[in-house]
Amino acid sequence: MSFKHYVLSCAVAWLAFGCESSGDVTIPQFPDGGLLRQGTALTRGQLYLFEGMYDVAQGSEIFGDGLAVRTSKGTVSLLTDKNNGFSVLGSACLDDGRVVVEGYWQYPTELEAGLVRLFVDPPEVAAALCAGEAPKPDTAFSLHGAWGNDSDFPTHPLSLNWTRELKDWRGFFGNTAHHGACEGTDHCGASPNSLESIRLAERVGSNLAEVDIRLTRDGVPVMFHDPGLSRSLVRGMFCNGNVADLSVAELLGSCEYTYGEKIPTLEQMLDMLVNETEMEGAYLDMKVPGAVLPSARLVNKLNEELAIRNSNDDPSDDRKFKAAIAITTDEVRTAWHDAKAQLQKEGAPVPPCLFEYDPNLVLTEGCIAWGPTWTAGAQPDNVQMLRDHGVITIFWTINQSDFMKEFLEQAKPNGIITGRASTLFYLYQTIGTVPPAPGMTE
Amino acid sequence: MIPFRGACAAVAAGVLLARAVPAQAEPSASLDPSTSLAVPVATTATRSPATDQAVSPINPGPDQGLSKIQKVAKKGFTFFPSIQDPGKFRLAVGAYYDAIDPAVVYGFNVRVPQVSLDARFGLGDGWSLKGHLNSMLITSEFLLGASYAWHPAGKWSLEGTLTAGLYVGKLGQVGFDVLLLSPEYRPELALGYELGNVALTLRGSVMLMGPENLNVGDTSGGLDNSNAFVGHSEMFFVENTTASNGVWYFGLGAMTTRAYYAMWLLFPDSPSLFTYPRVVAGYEF
Repeated sequence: MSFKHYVLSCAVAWLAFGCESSGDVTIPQFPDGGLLRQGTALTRGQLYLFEGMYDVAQGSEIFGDGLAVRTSKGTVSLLTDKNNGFSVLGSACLDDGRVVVEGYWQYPTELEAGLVRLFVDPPEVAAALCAGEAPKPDTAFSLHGAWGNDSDFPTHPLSLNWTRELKDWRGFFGNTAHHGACEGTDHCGASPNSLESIRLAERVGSNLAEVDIRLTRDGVPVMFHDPGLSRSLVRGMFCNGNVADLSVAELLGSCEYTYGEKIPTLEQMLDMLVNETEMEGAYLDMKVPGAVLPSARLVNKLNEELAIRNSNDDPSDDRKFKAAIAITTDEVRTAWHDAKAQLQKEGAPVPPCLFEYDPNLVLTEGCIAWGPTWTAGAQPDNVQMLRDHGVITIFWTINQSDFMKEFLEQAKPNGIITGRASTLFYLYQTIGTVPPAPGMTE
Repeated sequence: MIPFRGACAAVAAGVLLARAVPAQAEPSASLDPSTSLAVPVATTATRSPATDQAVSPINPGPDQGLSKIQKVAKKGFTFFPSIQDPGKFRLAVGAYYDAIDPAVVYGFNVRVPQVSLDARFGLGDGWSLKGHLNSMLITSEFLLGASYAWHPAGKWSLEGTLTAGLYVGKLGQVGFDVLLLSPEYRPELALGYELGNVALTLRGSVMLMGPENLNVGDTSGGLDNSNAFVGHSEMFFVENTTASNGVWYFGLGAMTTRAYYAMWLLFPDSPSLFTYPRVVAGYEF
């Protein structure tokens, strides 16, 4: 080997050893469906029993000293600010009269996850649940069981003691998912802007969804962040170019998000949000001016369907949901003006809007919400000025817990967009102030 | 691994390009008998002892017997391990470019090059003072420290460097009112090899930072997932000497860092380490 080759080999080896892989995590599951498969699922109404703040008597090494529990359809979620951790659990009444709550826990920014299995205590509460009742929680209510690492059977003790009810959050505070449950570099197993990620977002603490909207060549609003179909977001041998260059058929036929999900249209996203989740609204981030009018038409269509649904004689079927068109740039603002003029010309209603930059223009445009970037600071005076005019404020996008605390305490906003919904939910419940007026859906 | 394939190709190209540059002046030291013969022999009694010492083949001067690289090293290379003469000073101006994977921060596609300034001052006995600045305005790193170089064998040389300083991020426009300050510490090791008139250097360094203090408007706090170890760097440098003892340099290698070190302004909070290529080039005066 010549000296030149020797030097080159050394250089290559040095560079290669510098390479590190971020890897990915597998969401753990109990084999054969676990105990949930052997029991009878609790009803939606019964799940409210679990909601509240809990002390972590055992298991604080994984969940911190305290956590918040919220529920959604079929899911009990444990939410903590420790490493943005969450646990997504199902629940069932077993034949022996016990109530099991089990699923997985995860730190989404790290490669750490595992299984959780808990049982309801005291036994009389479990018996009441199995009898189909919906008891009220009190300080005697607790959950006992274990947690584990990866797919190992859970053996580390976990005990949670209910301490108090949650502060008002439904309808008041918008824990807004940043185009999904996690950020693109996380390991939660779902791609941003996919239906799967928005479903998961509710389970990790969100009650509003911010989603990104672009327009295909044939004018269909679809959920996609970047103009280009980059390898960091999508896969597919023939998935190349820009979203705007492809028809919706070409886009959906050629491309998948990185975890294999289909790229949804806005219509599919709104339908899923309303019919499969309890999310309260959507913040529709207009990435291109051309998406404004077709998106506004879809929001109008959704509002018509909701009006029909809410006007029947069955109040249990009622559904509150509000989608707002986000005006993000001057170009989008011009498109918004054109869209309003067109809709008014057609005699159609103008859907609600959300204005992202100048707080004074929020009032000029008659929008229901202001969506400032957090990087300009908490701006409590502007938040209060708009609140005095009945306008809510939702900051984007705070993922750092120190600043969630600062903004919750200084600005007392109506919502925050975040990719760390579990941390925000927990912090709002511990140090947040319930906004004086209801939020986006009211 | 594609970036590494590209890195290797560029390294190979760098070596070949450097060797292709014609040797610029400077005969190859005193072991060449023709060089000794070319030195005019002084015959008068008026020459000074100092002059005598500098030109006599019997009493060779301080540069006699040194290679071109060793002579330039007396003034100091920016990257090559250099035993600088006391009081000698070297200043370098250059540019960095980091090709960061868009996946590191979702939706981030802009890559901005940085300017760099490096200085070293000889203290003697292999010791040097070193200063470094790199900046893209919204992000700047300023480091000061010392290095020690030695030549253990033949054309090989080694250098250890320890610098400390400040990592500063600042933007007060376009919707931002943010300032990030953090101490930074950077130990480095360098392995050098002389290849004709070209100095080849492998430099490996570890980047340590913290605690980070971030101010956003009237609020302040730290970064989630911050870690004192923010990354490491492995770079290969080619420094090509000129007739005037200036040096052109270029280098290529891998940075492996946490996302917030590379792109703090986007506030990425992934604790993972990401590897990306870095290209540098510049001139040493």
